[in-house]
Amino acid sequence: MDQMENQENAKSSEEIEKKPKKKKAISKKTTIIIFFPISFAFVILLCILFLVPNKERKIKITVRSTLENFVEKSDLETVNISYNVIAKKCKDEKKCDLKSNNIDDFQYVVSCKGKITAGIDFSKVKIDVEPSSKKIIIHLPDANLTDNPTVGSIKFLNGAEVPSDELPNARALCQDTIIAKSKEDKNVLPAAKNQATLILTEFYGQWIKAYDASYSVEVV
Amino acid sequence: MKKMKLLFLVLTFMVCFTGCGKVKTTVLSDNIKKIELTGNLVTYQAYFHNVIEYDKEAGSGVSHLFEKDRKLFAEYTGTIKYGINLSKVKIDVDGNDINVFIPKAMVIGDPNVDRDDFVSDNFIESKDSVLNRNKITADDSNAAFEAAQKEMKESASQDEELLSLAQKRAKVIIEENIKQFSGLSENSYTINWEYEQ
Repeated sequence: MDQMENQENAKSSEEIEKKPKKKKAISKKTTIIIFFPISFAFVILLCILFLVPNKERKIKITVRSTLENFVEKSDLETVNISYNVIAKKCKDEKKCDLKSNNIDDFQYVVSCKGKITAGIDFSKVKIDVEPSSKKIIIHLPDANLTDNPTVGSIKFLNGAEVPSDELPNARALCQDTIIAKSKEDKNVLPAAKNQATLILTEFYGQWIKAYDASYSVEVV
Repeated sequence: MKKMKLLFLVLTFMVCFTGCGKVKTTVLSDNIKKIELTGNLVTYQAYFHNVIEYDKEAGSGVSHLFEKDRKLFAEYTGTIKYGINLSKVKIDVDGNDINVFIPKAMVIGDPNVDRDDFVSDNFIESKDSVLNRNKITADDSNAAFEAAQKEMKESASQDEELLSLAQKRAKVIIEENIKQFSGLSENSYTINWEYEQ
């Protein structure tokens, strides 16, 4: 009887010992089932986090270095603009209407040939890469007027009556008028920027076909 | 036996290098052909702020008696494009030499003159006759506008500084394209430039 009891006790103790082994086996399987998809997802996440931005970064670096090279070779940083104006010398500074279109209202009226220089700081260029739309956007900074204008030839429009010693004053008047008018001119700086935009659009339009034809480049 | 082995190795190297050179040249030639050479390549857009001097002659006949010749001066702005005709660009690959011919730059299209500048408020007019006036009319504004466009195109076509800059920029674009399309390092080929004067 005791033997029987001992055998039963032994069996139950074996079962008790086997149970954790089963649990261990189940947990291993579960771990494998859970671990692999998680690690797979983790690897994909890593790819998304590191590889995609790396591609973006690589494109940005390539575009920037090409841009620097191109800007240096093609003098894109400075834009010389022909800026010819009409300058008017008032007879009486206190009672003078510069808007008058009667030439006789002025001591003299002079046509001035001038040049102004606008500059674009290409170190401020921003490059964005949009992987979803496969677009590279190059943001150019605004242009700004740099040096003082240079005055070329001048011509008095009611010249016969103007004494020759007035010439230096007329040149100074031309200089002041060119500065004033170019500063007020709302088209001049956008035009300087457009000039760079246009040539870079032409350049990158071809360049991207060889680099990665699936992308497009926009210069703004 | 050693001599034979050495000879075999030398021959193998020679065959390899000769083959590689030919492959490189073919690749270069094929890649360069991919550069599109059609249409116009705009390389410069100039902004002008100009002064036009327009003459209005006194009319003839009794009704125009005592009229004076008049002058009209106006400031106007506009843009004009410069570039080259790409179909005139010639690129020939001869071994590792790339010979490129760049045509002279030209004005592309018509100038874009701002018509709003041609209003009477913006004109400076010479003195009119007291007895019989020779007024500046809308027709004169239109004629001045047309004259400005013509003058702008003519002066732009003769602006050697801008034409030269436009040609230089065309060269830079083509050079960069060759670099990009060649698929080879810059040391693998030499570009010889020829410019139309």
